[in-house]
Amino acid sequence: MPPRRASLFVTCLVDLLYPEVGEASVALLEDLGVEVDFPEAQTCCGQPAFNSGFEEDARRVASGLLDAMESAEAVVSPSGSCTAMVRSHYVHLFHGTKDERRAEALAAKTFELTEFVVDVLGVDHLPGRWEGRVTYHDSCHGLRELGLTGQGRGLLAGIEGLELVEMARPEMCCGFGGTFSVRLPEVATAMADDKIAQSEETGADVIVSGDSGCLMHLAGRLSRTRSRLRPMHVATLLARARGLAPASR
Amino acid sequence: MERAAFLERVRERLSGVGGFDLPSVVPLTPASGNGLPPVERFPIELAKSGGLARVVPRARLAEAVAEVLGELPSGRRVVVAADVEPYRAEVDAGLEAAAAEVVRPPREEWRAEAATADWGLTSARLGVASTGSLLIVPGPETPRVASLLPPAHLVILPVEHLVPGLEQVMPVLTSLADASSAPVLITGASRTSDIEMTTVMGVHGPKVLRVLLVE
Amino acid sequence: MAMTPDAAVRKRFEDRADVQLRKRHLPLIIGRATDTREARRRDIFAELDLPGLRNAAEAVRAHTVANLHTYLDRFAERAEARGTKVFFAATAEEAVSYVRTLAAKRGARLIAKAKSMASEEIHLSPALEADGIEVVETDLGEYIVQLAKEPPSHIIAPAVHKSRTEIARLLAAHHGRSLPDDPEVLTAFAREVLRRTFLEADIGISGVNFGVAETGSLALVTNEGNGRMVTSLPPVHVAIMGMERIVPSFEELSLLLPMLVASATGRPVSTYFSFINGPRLPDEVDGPEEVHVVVLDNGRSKILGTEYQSILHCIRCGACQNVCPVYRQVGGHGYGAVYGGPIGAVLTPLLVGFEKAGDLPHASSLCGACTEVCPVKIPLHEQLLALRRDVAREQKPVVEGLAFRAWSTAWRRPWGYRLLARLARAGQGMFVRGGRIRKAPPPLSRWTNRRDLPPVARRTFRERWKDR
Repeated sequence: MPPRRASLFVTCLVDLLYPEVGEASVALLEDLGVEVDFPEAQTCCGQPAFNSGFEEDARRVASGLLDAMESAEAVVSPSGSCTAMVRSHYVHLFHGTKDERRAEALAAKTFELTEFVVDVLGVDHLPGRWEGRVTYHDSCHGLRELGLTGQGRGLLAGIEGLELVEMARPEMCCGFGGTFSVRLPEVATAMADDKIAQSEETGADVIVSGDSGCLMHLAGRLSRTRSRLRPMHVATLLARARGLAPASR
Repeated sequence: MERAAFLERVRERLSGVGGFDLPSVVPLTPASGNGLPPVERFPIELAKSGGLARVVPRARLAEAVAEVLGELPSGRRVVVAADVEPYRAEVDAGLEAAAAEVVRPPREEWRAEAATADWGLTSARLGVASTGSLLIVPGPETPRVASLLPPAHLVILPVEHLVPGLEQVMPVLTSLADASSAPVLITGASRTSDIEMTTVMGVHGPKVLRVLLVE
Repeated sequence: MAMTPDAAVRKRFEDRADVQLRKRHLPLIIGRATDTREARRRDIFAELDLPGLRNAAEAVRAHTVANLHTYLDRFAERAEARGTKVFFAATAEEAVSYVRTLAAKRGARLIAKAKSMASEEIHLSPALEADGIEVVETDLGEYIVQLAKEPPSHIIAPAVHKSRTEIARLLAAHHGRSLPDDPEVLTAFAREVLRRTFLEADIGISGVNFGVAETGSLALVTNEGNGRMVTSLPPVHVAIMGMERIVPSFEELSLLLPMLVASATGRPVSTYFSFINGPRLPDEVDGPEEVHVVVLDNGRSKILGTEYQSILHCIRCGACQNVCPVYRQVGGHGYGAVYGGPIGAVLTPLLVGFEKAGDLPHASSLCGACTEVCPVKIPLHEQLLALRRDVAREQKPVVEGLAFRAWSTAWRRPWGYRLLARLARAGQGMFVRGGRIRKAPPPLSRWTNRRDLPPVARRTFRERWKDR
């Protein structure tokens, strides 16, 4: 019996910069009969410090998430990267500390949004309607740390009017990489331009991804270069297609 | 540094490292044999690496040698290694029919002769069906340069010398460790992709490789 | 060489990368070459049990490296019994000095060199050239970068960053004649000029792909045939071998050779697998009179017994470079070291120290594509992550350290997080235009120089949630 209750780990990026992605995630889950709560003590998974080599600072922030999600039945997050941080790296991060068991417990009950819908709830088809051509960017951590390949695409396939066109290298990194994008801005930008060029070649109107980090990076470059391509989170697109969210921002 | 000191340093660093076992099971590799009979597979695989092989009955070997030389516009000066002596009669007849200039150099002249020859003619110890590779084993009858310096290389190989895959070559290589200074597994024509990934044949070694599999 | 890797490596990755990024054609050329190789790699493994093969290859490498002292000892013993001279070099200096002494003893004037990353690592050619010896690289790609006075930019495709036009100009300028930009013609020309080198060289220098402990043999993998040339034609052959390049016996090579070649090029085997058992035997027609193997430590033993030990499992196939999105943009020269791409970003700091190369582990978006393709399952991106931690511990960067401490102090509690969000929202007003930030003060300018930044939402998700 799949869990009917889930706690949303909204992530700091979505909370602060893209709240509509969080709302779309809640709308989708509730529409599927899941009772969603939002533990307000949560802040961030700690990844910026962790990926920069500052494990102690990462632990300080991450332990806040352990507290916040202590009593959750299942944790769902609209981010492959933040989910991967919890699932693949927390055990290592808290190894040998008093929080080791709690980290293991949280890792075991945390899921990325499309993964939760498809693999946990067992819903692989979401009827809806949305007109447009879409290309899908596989965010690296979702793809390689969590092994997500077909979940997001499968859900989009059920949407009437939506045409999914694959870019040449959907699995290639967009250049965000968290602090990488600020540490090596020129390299990161060149990587984004590569991704954008591939996406534009498909003739798509929208580039979809399951990670707001990738989308923030791509969006920033798209608007700076006045591309007609629009970035959109998979949760936002699904919610709109199902009439659960306003049609535009 | 002395060997003992060097190795002692390595041993010390490894003292806390757990043992790992060699794999007990190894799946089929890209160079493993499959169900296809070696004599059928060898020419198919060799063609992928820019070489050509054909199966000929011994009775038609002379004819085949003449044909191979005739197929190419190159010159007809052929250095012949002694390892094809078992086929002396057929080789000589074929080379004569092709109007080739035959050179069987004495030991000390091999290098100079091979450097100016158009063809090198040798045998091989083994043929590997899964890859179209030839195991050439330098020795008293097999100079290294015969298969290295001329722009074209013709190999006469009895079909019995074919093995299914690379796995079967390894015991032979082990047994050759004291018998030959430099066995070599040759697969097709010398090639490079160093200029914009464009494949070009014949960069340092032979540009042409022909194999006659003798039944 | 114009740029000695050590001097270059001291510069920051960011500076070198930015220089490379100005070469607009680079990602196109590198992208095409690396995409082709990666597609071929996928094809050849498509029908095979790749996970099983990777497990087996990893096991062979892990076993060998964990017992390296035993296998190296056996290798040396067997090789010497067969007449090969084995020299153990603890440092680059010892290795270089051994080869220089040998060259002097032989009165060498001309040396033919086959591709060898280990000899690049110890800067062997410049040292020999300083002694007045002409050293000629004979791998076509290596020859091209040698003429360009550049280091190789890819483990198996040293001139991957050069266009055919550039290559034609280089060869033409060096030989004082005009040449078309046709790879066929250029290759034929190189064959002609390098043939003289092979025949006249006093010493041939090569690298080693695998040393076989059971027999003291060396295995060399080439496609062009230059490996066979330099180990067959000159009277002396010197092989430079990183000490970890050992396998227990030939049996393991039936796995590792195809794994190496297929991962590198998508073919099951290369054109030439040369197995060097020692100098020419008395009854043989040809082959070198002397064979020397220089076994190189040069920082490798420091890696043994640490969490980075598996980086010594590397078989130098370059697959990680072919899939690396950072390498794709900046090429091998961006890394300013012999080994570029993910393998270089891990190995270089471990070999030359954090002071010189501590920023290389940050030359990655941690996308993990390298780890996914590595035929011996080195967790490359995890090692990059671990190195970032170790570099931070050793170097204690003050500004960054304070920034992360301030951040974690605020964000460990929701009220601190909310407070910072409110402060940001209050402060961003003067920068927001049309719903985005186009120009922000440092350090955020590092983002906004090239990209727009979204402002903190007027109402965050948690504020909206409260009002539900």
